[in-house]
Amino acid sequence: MATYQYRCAGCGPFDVTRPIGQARPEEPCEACGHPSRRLFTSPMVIRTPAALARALQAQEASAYEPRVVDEVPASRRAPARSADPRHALLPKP
Amino acid sequence: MPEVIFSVDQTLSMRDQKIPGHNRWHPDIPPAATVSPGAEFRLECRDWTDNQIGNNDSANDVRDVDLSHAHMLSGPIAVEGAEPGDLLIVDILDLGPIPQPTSDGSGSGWGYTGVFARDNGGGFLTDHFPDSYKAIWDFHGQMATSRHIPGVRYTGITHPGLMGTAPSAELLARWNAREQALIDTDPYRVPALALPPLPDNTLAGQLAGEDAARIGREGARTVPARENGGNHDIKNFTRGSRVFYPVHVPGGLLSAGDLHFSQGDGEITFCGAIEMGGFLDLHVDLIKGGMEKYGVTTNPIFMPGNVEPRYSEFLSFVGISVDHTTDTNYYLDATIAYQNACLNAIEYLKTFGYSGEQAYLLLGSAPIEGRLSGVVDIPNACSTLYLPTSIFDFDIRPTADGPRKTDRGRCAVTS
Ligand SMILES: [Zn+2]
Repeated sequence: MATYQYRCAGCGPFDVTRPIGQARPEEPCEACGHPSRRLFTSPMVIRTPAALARALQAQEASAYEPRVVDEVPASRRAPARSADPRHALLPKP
Repeated sequence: MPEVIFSVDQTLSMRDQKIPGHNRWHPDIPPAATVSPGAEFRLECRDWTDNQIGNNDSANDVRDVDLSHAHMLSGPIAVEGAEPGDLLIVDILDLGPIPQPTSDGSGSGWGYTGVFARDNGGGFLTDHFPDSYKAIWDFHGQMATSRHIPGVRYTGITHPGLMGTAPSAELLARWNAREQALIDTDPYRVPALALPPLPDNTLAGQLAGEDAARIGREGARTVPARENGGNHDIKNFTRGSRVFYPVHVPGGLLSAGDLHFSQGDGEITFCGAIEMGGFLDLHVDLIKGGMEKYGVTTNPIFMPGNVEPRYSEFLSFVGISVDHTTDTNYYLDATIAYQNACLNAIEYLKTFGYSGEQAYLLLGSAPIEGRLSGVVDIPNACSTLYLPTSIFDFDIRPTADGPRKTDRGRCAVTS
């Protein structure tokens, strides 16, 4: 089943569930019964931003075929500089 | 070898030592020894549970561990002339398992990794692994192997899990108040949100009677890290590390313990390091008035050590902050992202014949690297786990032939 959207001129948009491919061009408004035209909206998949889709794909793939890399990003080894400039003056070992 | 100023007879409980250590934070626990600024010395340490875990093939001891004994610490060590407001410099000179074992406890050529049951401490993936499991590791110099996780051999990244100074009475009261407030938000949660003071099995150094009982009622448990340092479980707190601890009480009162032969980033199984008894060599010094001079107030400052195993190839496992079972997005939740990265690594290792429990135990103890890769793609945090390939004695990389699944034994489980 899929959800299709219609808009009644008086009452606004409403949803109708029908088997895929069987949406009618018009449906009676669920509130007032007035014939209402179908709205064409973007399919669901487009709502996933490209960056998120890439991250989801990378995550899913890594359980079966993790990437092999030569080095680990240096985030922890070089911790972020302290906001307090006095910390840089602490005596090193 | 530096002078041993805190000695442990490893055939005896910490409670029965000539000068016992302690397992709560409290300013009134008297020093076990006093050193001058500039001193180098050795502390001998019990395993953090006071040796409740044995070198055997059952995880019953992990399931039944009594956490009211933990963490069994060596100290406190007073530093002459240290006053509140000073900074205490602590350098890690060396550490390791018991050099010449006299007993069969952990640190005597072996250590262990445990997964705690959900109703007794739990762990990072406790919803996926609710029971208790254990792996025994045998030490070969600085290398470790396990009969419970065959096919793996690696160099440990050895460090103390726990070190800190005593809190002042005022700071201790603030800890107790804020942690109780957290507990009160969900008092019946399992595992508990925080652990309030617990008189049962409190050890307060040389104190006895009513003095010791008061430490039991007021002393902070040692599980979380706080302003005084504490249980930080930083795997790069290795030889060569330097820490600056705020001094909150006269003498500073430094204590340490919970030695780890190795550990991955984030002690993901709670008992996920390779735990052991052993020794810890330190150098201490003082910066008078250092807290104000250097702006160190609420936390110690670490300079990580420069001694660690070196690897040149890693498998990278990715996780994002989505709960797949409920399709829930968690806003920039790096913990859930790292959990998913761990679960992906576990799934992958299972295709080589390891059980999920073996894989979980391995990720806690091996020198894996965890990275928070980015939180730019709102609402998802992305974490990545890097697993060195050369710790395996077979090719762990994905190949066209597919994974080589063979019988890889099993870890210790409960009966
Ligand atoms: Zn209408």
